[in-house]
Amino acid sequence: MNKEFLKITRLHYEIGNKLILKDLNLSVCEGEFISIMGPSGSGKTSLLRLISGLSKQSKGTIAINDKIVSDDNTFVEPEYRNLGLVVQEKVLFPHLNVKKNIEFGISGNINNDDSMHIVNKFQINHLLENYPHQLSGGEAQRVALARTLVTKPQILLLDEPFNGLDEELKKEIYPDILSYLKEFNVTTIMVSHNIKEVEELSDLCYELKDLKLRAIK
Amino acid sequence: MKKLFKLNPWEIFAALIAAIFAIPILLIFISLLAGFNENFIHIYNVVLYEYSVNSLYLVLGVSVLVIIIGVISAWLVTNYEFFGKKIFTWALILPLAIPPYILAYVFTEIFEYSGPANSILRSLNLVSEDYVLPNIRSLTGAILVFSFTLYPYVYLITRVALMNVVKPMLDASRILGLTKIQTFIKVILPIIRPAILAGAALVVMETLSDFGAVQHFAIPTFTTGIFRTWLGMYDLITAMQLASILLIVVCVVLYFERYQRSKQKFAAAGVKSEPLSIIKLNGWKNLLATLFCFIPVFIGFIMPVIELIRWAIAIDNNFSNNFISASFNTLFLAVLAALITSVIGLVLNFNARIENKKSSEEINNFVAMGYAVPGLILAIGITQFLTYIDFILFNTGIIITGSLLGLIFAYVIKSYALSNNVIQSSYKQFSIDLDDSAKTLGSTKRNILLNIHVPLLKTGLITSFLLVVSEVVKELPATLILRPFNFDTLAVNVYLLASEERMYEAAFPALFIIFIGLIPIYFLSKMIDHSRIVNE
Repeated sequence: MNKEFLKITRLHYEIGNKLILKDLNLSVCEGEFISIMGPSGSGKTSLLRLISGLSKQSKGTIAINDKIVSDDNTFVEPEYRNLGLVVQEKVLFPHLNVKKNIEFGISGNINNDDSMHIVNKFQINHLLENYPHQLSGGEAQRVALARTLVTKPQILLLDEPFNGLDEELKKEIYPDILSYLKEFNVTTIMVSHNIKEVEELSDLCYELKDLKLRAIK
Repeated sequence: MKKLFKLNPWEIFAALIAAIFAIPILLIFISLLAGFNENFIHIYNVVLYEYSVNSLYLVLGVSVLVIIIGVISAWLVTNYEFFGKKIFTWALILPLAIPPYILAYVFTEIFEYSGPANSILRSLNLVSEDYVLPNIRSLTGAILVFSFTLYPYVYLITRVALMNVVKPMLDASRILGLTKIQTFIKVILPIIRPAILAGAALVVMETLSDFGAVQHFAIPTFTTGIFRTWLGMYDLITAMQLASILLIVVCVVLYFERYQRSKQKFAAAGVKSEPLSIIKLNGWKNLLATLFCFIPVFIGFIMPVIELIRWAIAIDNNFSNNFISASFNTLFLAVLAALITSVIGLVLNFNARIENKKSSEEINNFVAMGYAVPGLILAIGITQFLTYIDFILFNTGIIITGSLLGLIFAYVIKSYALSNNVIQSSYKQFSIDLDDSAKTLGSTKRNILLNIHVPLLKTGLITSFLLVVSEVVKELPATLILRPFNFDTLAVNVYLLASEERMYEAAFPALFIIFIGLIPIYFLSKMIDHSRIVNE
């Protein structure tokens, strides 16, 4: 059994007067791939934002690799958490071409073996000089995934990341993603509505509904 | 020949308008072929360098200052909550209502030896009796005047661009390991840079076009030089040749502005709009943000308006015959020009939409470039054009040239872009499917225009009309040159009174010009509110 890598304890989060998460506990082992499903507005994306440090919880503790990154007294800014986040919106930087977008989070260029390996895997080598507005939805999403993976995050957070991809491409890249994640032992949390995708990729699945998180697989 | 007959009347009208708009500008450039006479050589040897250097310093100084004021204020009101933020969001545009020449007159009075600024400093014993603030009638004074009246261009465009910088994009940058400051430098700044530069280019064009403020401050620039050459040396050809040089510079700036705008569209493409979180400022940061936004509004609007009101109150009879006739003349011209401009705007946009051809759109864009031509240059080109027509039709040079026609012509060319922008964006509000349905129901183009488009565009057309009115009321150099003998407008009235140092008498007509100038501010603030609601 791998060691516990992400530990969330009694997490409480509200926006204005609206309660989003209540007393949520979650533990994810190193290298594990978990998925969270649930109806819209149930707090799945909020949970990813809290883990990444883009939002701060009202109460509770988040610890990564035995180190508290967020509680009443501590808050580690997102840029120091070594996480990767891929969301469903197009968030490529419009003023940079694909190559520069991918190089954005790493020092140096993408010509090293690991980065090129990812670029090849996501079949985007022919797009490197293109700008985001010249990409299709699926291409943009593949670039966003590659941009995150080249930074070698210790935790990967995926928020409906495969929405823009066609079924053929999904079939092609799922095994590659899984092998990459296993190879680098990346702990992954994915939010998705797609049960097929969840079954194919995750070790464990949870449902977040009515403020309760329960394991369903 | 066959192809010509395929043109429909709408296209012919559009092409004709484009040709008529282009002739005065072409005549200016043709003057370069006439050869350079001794006046030009004298100007070239003696003053051209001074004109160029002063114009360059002016443009550089103003650009730096408007970027500092415009960008920081736009950044503050877009991203932070601080005391007075809601008011500043629209109040920061108010200085646009004040033409630079009016602020120049006010500055001169406020900062002269016995003016309020020096008097207050002396009465507070902050300075000695002999102390005098630096002379405001200088290049630095002109830079301040232009900066505090024109920074809203940068503020407005930057603010719209900042609304395109969406939260997920910044989140991605933070997650990829960049700090807040690094994110600002590497993500936000490159995205808003085209907007900042496009705004600054507009300011440069306005600064190069100005005549009233630099003339009042006695700064030799290209515009004052052209004016002096024409009406002092009575050498129209040399004035046109000087105008050509300035026009080439304006064309370069115009090209730069259009290029930056096209990049700005790039930057906003395909990004889901989700506004940035607003951060609440407390303590000294709150005070600093409030002060930073208050200062340009105070210097660019509150101070001149208060001072003008104070002067106007000191005059017994503000409603003099001069004022009444100038007001009537101004409103008559403004309404006529606004009607013609809006009708042309409607027809050209209708043609571009219904024909859906690249050429129709290009004609419209070409005609809209008139805003960049300095009023003085336009006046020279139009005078030359109308003189030719006079000679052809009446064998004399004053019948049409001395009429209101030239003036209206100049106003229409100068303000077409305003009308075009409003009508174009109003057209985007309703789908082209409506036209197709009407066509399949048997409507002619004329029917579609009058029975479908005009009712749907009603608000846009009224807005276009009011915007042109406010632009015409402010216009000075073209009016000064093209007005018929003994025909004064409010702007000319203010200019003539100020040049005779009768500032107090100039105050009331100046206030009237500012009041009319507030019309576009109202619409701009409504547009900002609208985009904020859409974003939120």
